[in-house]
Amino acid sequence: MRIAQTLLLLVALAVIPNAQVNAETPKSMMFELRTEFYNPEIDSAFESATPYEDAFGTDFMWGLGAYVDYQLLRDYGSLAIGAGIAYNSITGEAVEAESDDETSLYMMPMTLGLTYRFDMLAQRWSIPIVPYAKAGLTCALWWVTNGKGEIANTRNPNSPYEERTGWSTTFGFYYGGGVQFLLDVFSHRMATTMDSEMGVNNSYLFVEYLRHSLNDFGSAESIELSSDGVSFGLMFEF
Amino acid sequence: MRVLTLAHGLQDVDPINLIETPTRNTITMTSAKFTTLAAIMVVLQTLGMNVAHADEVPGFSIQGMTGVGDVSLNSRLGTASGSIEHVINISDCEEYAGKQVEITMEVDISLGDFYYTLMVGQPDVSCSTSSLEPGSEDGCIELVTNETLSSSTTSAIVDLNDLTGGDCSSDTSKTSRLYFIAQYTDDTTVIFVSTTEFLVDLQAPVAPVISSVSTGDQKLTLNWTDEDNEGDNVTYNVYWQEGSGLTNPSTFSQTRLTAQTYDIEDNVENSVSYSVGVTAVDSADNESSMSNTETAAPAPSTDFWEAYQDAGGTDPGGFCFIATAAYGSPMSNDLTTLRSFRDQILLQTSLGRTFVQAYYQWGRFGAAYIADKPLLKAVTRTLLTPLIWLASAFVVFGPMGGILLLMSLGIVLFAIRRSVHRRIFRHVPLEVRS
Repeated sequence: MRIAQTLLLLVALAVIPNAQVNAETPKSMMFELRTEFYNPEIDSAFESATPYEDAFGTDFMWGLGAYVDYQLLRDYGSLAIGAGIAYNSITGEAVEAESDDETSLYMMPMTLGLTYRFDMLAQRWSIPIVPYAKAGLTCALWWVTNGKGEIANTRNPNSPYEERTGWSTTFGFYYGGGVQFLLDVFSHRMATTMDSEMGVNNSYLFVEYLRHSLNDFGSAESIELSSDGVSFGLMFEF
Repeated sequence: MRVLTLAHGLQDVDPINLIETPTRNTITMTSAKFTTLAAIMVVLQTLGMNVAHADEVPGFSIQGMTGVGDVSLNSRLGTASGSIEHVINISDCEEYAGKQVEITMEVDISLGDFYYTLMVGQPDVSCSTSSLEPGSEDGCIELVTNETLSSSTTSAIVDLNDLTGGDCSSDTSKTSRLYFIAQYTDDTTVIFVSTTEFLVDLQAPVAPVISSVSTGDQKLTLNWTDEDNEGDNVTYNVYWQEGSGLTNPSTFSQTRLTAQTYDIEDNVENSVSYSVGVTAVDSADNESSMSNTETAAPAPSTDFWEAYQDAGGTDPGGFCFIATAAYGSPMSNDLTTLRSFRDQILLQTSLGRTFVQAYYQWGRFGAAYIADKPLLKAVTRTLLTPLIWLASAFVVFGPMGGILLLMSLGIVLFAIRRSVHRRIFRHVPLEVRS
């Protein structure tokens, strides 16, 4: 008898969340706001010189970003295509400066990629964890400012007639993954309200690791902006 | 119906003014009201207060104030300065001490000629304006007394000392007044009075205090505090000049600054010492004495991009002008070829260097133009293709090899042309070929 009661309880627990899911508004997109830490491997292109470290020390570039994706498939998890943009910067004292000048590096990566979220744990068994993996292409616009706050400008040491302006775009790709934690478990009532009033089905806290390969796909004439990046933030599924 | 109204505060000297509607007709009113009003006026006059049937002089305005015999020095005297009109500051006071200024006025005489009196009240002196012949009062100087005004414009000569009080170092802020008293020549029942106030601001603001001077690459950043003038709507002048002494005016300056910080980026060179100072300027254009003077020298610095290039960084940065615009990406192999051609071939000769210099000076404009035009980009790519082949040949075979290849190509093209030409004209008699 007890066994039967226990089984009945387990079935009920498994069904009730499904009933809640069924009551949700349709969902097909995810929007995320993130803060990220980025450490470009610029110095790895040199044998002994460390221009990045000389200017910015060992600090990370810090930035904010947003990403939105559309779920293409929803069987055995979800597969989504998305695009995002971020803004990262770091400021340091000018190299070899006898003055108080500062120099900054800014980067604005724009990404286009795919994300697979294994959300069956949350959907079917109410385990509020969603692991995911993502990969895609990146086009990063970057620029360097000098002590006057202007775009840095110098000449090619080997070709003095060539002016080299400290801004460009660098292409590459990224891959990695992360874990989303479903916040709805803290307050089903609030989650229901957000869904009914704003159409936000689920909210997540996430932490993510990505490997960015950002060097014009290995071009010898590219600045090495590749990095391991860690980011975290909020996701809203709607 | 014409109505007489009672108004207050139009002029300092007239605590109560009776204002007529803007017609010059004789005032009439109901007898009861008139009797009451007349009684009030009698009582006030008995108490020693100035009462008049007075209105603003129709269309009265000050047109300008210029120094007699030296107009060029008077462009702002008596006109708007900052947000204040008719202001005399320390500089004016000192410059025109003992001199005369001419004040030009305009009046609307469309309804008839006036008798008028002009009078100056010295700083903080109020003068009686109850009649066209007010009589002598201390501090009240009559310039014109009861004369006929038949032109809309008139002027009067005033000793500036009468307006300023004569003591330019008094460190005071007072008000002088110009009184224009008028009556229509054919209707003397109403007296018109217009009073123009001149702010005689002889108080200079307190000098700001420089809190820091930081140095940059061809730049000095100056910060200062100014607690004493807080809320006084002052602006700041920054002065700098080479060396340790600073004079006002200095060699270089930047005026009318509103922030309490300034980046000196013009007329400064690295490793040269400059003296810098700041003054505050109030809305009457009075300038404070110079702040504490600081000395600093801009110093060179290397930004990250320079450090990257100096270390041998290979990314050329920028957007490779026309070719990048055409190919859409700076990482194209063709662009690498073109860059190699530039570095290995063109930059080895003076003619090539001139070409590269001109290209980097002007090429960006072409790139910007074609960047958003797909058709032009395609055309440019097509046109660049043979050039890239040629550049490749130069890079691979060297300059001489490239030239030989170019000559060979020319010979081949010439031979092909000749061959085609022969086939076409094979059966055409020589005499008709031309």
